[in-house]
Amino acid sequence: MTHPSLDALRDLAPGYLLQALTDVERAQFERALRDPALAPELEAELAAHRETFAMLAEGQATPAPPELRERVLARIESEAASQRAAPPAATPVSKVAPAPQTGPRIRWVPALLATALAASAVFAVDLRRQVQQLETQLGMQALALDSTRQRLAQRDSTLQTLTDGGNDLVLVRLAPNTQAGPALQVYWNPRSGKAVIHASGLAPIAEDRAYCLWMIRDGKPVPLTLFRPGSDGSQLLHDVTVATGTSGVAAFAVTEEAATGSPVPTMTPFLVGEVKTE
Amino acid sequence: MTADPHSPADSASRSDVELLRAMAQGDTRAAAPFYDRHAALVFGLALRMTGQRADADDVVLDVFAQVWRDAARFDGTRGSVVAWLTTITRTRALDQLRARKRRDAAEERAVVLHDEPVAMGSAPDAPGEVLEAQERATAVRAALVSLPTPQRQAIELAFYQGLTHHEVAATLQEPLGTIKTRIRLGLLKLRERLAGHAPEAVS
Repeated sequence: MTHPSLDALRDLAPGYLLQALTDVERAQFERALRDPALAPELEAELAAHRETFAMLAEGQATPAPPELRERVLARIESEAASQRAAPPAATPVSKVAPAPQTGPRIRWVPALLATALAASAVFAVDLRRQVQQLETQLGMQALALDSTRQRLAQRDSTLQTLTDGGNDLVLVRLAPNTQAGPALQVYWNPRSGKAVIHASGLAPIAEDRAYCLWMIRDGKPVPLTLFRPGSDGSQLLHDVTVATGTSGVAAFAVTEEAATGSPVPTMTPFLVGEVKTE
Repeated sequence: MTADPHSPADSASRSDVELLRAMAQGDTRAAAPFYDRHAALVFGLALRMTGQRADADDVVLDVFAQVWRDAARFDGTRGSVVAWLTTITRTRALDQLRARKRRDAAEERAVVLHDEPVAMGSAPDAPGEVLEAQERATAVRAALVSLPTPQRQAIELAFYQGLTHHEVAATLQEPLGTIKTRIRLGLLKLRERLAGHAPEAVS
């Protein structure tokens, strides 16, 4: 049986540890883990994520309530006692043990009061729970709203770059000689110096590598931005700083570089597009 | 042997692995120093995930009881003690969240909206360790904040809120594949940025 690509399996690794996968995804990942050809790589990936999760947990460290310590140690003592097969610990005396019977006529009043108090306590707990529910829902909605706002802001920025360029807007198409394969378009607004970049058909890339877009100006390559393709091989970059004015800019090109970038290209560009201005 | 709240100094100076080994052999005195060292991490993570103090207390009780039972099963070749504890804590907190869902179908999981932890108790009596833990916590939060927002949100929803990838994608209204890649890349960045703040190594 074939496995998903190594990159796809790597993308599943955090979710596998976080119990965030579907049953199908988990089964796929576990099958790959049993494959000797993939196991070492995936195990290393899992081990690294475990330590990162440990650091995330440390980021939330909060002193525990002092009384909790005693309860934890008592629980462990109780488990240890069970393990030693000692006689079971004495049942703790209930703090709400029933009062001695003093006759039905004087017992029912406190009983009613207790019931009323219990009912109001339940009501208070329920009310608090409802408030927490509402806060939760508000929190989730605020998060979704925040995400939507960000996307709208990005789209505004994209539209502004495209429309503010007016007749000066420069479109540069970067593609190989063949029809298939990767392609990239630069929508460059030389007035603002900004560009919107759209890439497609890009091959997956190792985690320590990235694609780099270069501008060839005055015969020299200038690195503009590093990017990685999404899972479908495409990427849209909204607000890339290029240059104000087209003077001296002859072409754009794409290479694969280290994820930290490089001052000069380390390979022959696999995508090149000439800048044709009037 | 008993769980002595005033454990001998030699217990407190033993490594996590030594304390686990002692617990595996039935020495309950090892539980107190182990608890003192890790209670803040377990409680803080449980509180962040469940959003409720009572649930967080239950998680802490369950986690340390499980540590006691499974001490012999800790495998140092698979990661640090803190990583092991983190896994147990998340699993228990997710159990709590699922149980709560079952109790009341209308109830959503609680979200702790603030980033700063709520001070719930006093710190253990080990100023050096406390200071070090506080520095690590600050560094982690700073590293998290420094991530691109989409990556940070995806990690927070998956790790702290216990959402599945599908739920994260639905919440952020992004494609599933994007979310998976985002979480992984965010974790890689975090690891790079926190290289000097790794949890206690396993000896």
